[in-house]
Amino acid sequence: MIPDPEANPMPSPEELATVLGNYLDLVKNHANEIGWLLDQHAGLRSEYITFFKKDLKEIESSLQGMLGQGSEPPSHDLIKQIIADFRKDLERSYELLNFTFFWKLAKLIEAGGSGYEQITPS
Amino acid sequence: MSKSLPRNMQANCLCQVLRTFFQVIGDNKEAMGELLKKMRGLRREYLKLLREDFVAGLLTANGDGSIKENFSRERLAILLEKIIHAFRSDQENSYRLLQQGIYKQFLEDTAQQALTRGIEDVQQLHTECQSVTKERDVLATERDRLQKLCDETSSKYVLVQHHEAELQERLAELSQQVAGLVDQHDANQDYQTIIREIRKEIEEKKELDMWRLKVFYNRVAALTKSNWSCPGVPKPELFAAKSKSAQQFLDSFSTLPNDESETWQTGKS
Repeated sequence: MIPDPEANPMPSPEELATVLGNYLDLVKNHANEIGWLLDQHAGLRSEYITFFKKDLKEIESSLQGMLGQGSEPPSHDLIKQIIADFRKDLERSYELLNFTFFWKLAKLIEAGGSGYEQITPS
Repeated sequence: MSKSLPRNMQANCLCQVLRTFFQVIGDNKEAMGELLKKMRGLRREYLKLLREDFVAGLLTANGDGSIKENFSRERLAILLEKIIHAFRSDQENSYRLLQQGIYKQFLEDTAQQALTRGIEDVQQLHTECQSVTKERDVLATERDRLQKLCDETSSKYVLVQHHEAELQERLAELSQQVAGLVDQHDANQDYQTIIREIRKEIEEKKELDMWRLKVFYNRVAALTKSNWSCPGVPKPELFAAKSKSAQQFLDSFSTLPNDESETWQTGKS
């Protein structure tokens, strides 16, 4: 999608001005959609921070209460696993708001729908 | 996107894809928001399980916490991990339902609509591409034609230059010939004048005495621009020749030996 700078020589100032004008129009005409997308991203980030500030502490406390504390408590592995799982779940939502995923999906439909499993996050 | 497309068209295509993406987002904000909310619900369910239900349930199992007391830490950890894994496997069903059910259908439908909309744009771009290609071909043909014409004109120019040089050379030759003929014509007139003057002198003075002969001699010397002179006799003005050849002829008299003129000056035979 992004033009290769080595294969393509520098565009002229007129070309740059035209392309920039088109993209500025795009941003201006779809300001609501872009704002909505940014809000959703902000919501996901906020949820991620809350997870670390609140949920994870409570989970860790519960696990320590159950498994106890030691030099190498088994709860550490579980905590790492829980963080990884949560990040993975969060990624599913990011994917939905991601242009690249939309592009992959469009290409998939263009190809007749085969290979859906390869692009959906598991 | 094909790299063979002109750069401005590549930029247009990318711009069009982004526009379609934003249109899809704009048309389906509510559905997407709902989907995100469902996903957030699943995450909360997972965290709630870990934070409250799951651990608290194990601790209070059998009413007196015997599970904790009867298992070692390692075994408890393994048990927890297995239970978490099982719960996540159950949750996967929900995610799959969202992703491959509502999610898939929603995105496929909307993306399909977007593609349908995009097809018109692609067709328009294709038409523009064809138009540009055709125009480029026409320009290339015109360029070839002009190049050929330019080559032909250059060849003609070289020939004309060569011909011009030949004509210039020929003109120089003709100019020389004309100058020679003009000089010859003037020379004829000069000689005719000289002969006429001498004849006049001779015909008017049939009976020549010595004095008149000297005067006649000096006049002929003036006409022929010689250095001869007969002392005591006035010498008329020198004759000015118009032609080069006559001038050369007259100049030749100046180079005659002096003794020849002296013969006339002294009157000795």
